[in-house]
Amino acid sequence: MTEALRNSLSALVDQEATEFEVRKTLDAVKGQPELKSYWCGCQAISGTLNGDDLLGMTLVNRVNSELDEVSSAGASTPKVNVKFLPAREVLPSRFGALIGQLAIAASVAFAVVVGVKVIAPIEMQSVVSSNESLEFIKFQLPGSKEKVSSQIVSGDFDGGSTRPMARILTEQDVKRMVSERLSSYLVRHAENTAVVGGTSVLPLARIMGHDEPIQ
Amino acid sequence: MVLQMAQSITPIREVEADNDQILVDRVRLGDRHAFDLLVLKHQSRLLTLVTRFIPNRSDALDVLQDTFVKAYRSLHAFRGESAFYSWLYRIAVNTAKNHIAIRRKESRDISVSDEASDVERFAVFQDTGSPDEEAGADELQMAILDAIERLPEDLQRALTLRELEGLSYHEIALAMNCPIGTVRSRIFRARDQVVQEINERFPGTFL
Repeated sequence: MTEALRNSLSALVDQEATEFEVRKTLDAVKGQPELKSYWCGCQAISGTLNGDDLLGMTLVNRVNSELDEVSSAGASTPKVNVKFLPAREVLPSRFGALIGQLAIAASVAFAVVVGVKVIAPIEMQSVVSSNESLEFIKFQLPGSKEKVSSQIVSGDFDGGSTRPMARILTEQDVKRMVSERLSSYLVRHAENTAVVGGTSVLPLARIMGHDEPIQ
Repeated sequence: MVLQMAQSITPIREVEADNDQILVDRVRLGDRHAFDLLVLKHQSRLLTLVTRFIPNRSDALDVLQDTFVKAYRSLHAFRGESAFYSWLYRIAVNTAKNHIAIRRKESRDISVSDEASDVERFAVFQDTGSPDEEAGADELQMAILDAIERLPEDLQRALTLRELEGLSYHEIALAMNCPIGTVRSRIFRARDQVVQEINERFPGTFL
């Protein structure tokens, strides 16, 4: 118990010690019980001058023993068999996390590819039944509804297996078909006009919207 | 004159808050020695307070013990908005009131016809401590006062200004017209001499 430590304790009694002194003194008190006795003596002087009752170390020992009793009672309570679930494992590293993300991405991509391969033909099949013809109303001439039948084709679509497939007509196909049919009409009409010598109806056909050049 | 000077300078209690807070922080970190220092520091003042409610010294000590145990367990609730002693004061008063209420209830339950119980009850409320304890404490206090009387005048004055008037080192330095370091040194030397003398006269008193 050095004089410097006693000096610091005296300052601590008066709340005048610096923070460094307080910490240093507290560290010293742990290893030197006589410092606690010195502190007790200083407090006894203070208590005497203020007319308070003196207690010494009696109360401290009682409080400590009760606190120890409570803590030991807590420690000696019967142990309950509790099986703890294993803690959630932490990913080993960032590399592991990256691998996990890649695996998820790969599985999603695989599902998409399989879906396209498997589900799309089935949908197409469900739309077009084998012997049923599709009717596409593509355009209407005044006073008549033109019906276009889909062509049912059979071909080597799926590894040589023969099954009826619907050919979906694109706009180009429709235009081509219309042009072919209209061309034949126009040719016939031109022939008739040449024979009869009347007014051509070609301008009328253009007014009806078929003004595209006939191939 | 010293009192007038003290009133004109900064309030004393403001200076006092920090060291206790450091001790409290250490206790929160699990340092029981720091808590021992807090108990030793405040026990005498609190005992005087509790004996106003409970004259029986033995009961007062029990209440004080409960007070400090409660304080230790609920130290996490102390936010440092008030002085640590104020917080302890409230706990001590509440514990003392609870103790009185329990004792009253118990005394009502005691059969009036039982003479032995009456005597016991009388003893509970009248006993103020064993004569030996009282005599020992009185003797110790007299020895401390004697030792203070024998101190050199400058040491005695510094000590009494601090302990009786409650002045800070800065205020004492102004009052005694000397540096703060000298005040600190004088107060330390005064205490050191008194403690040494008591330890020589009553060995093991503070153990």
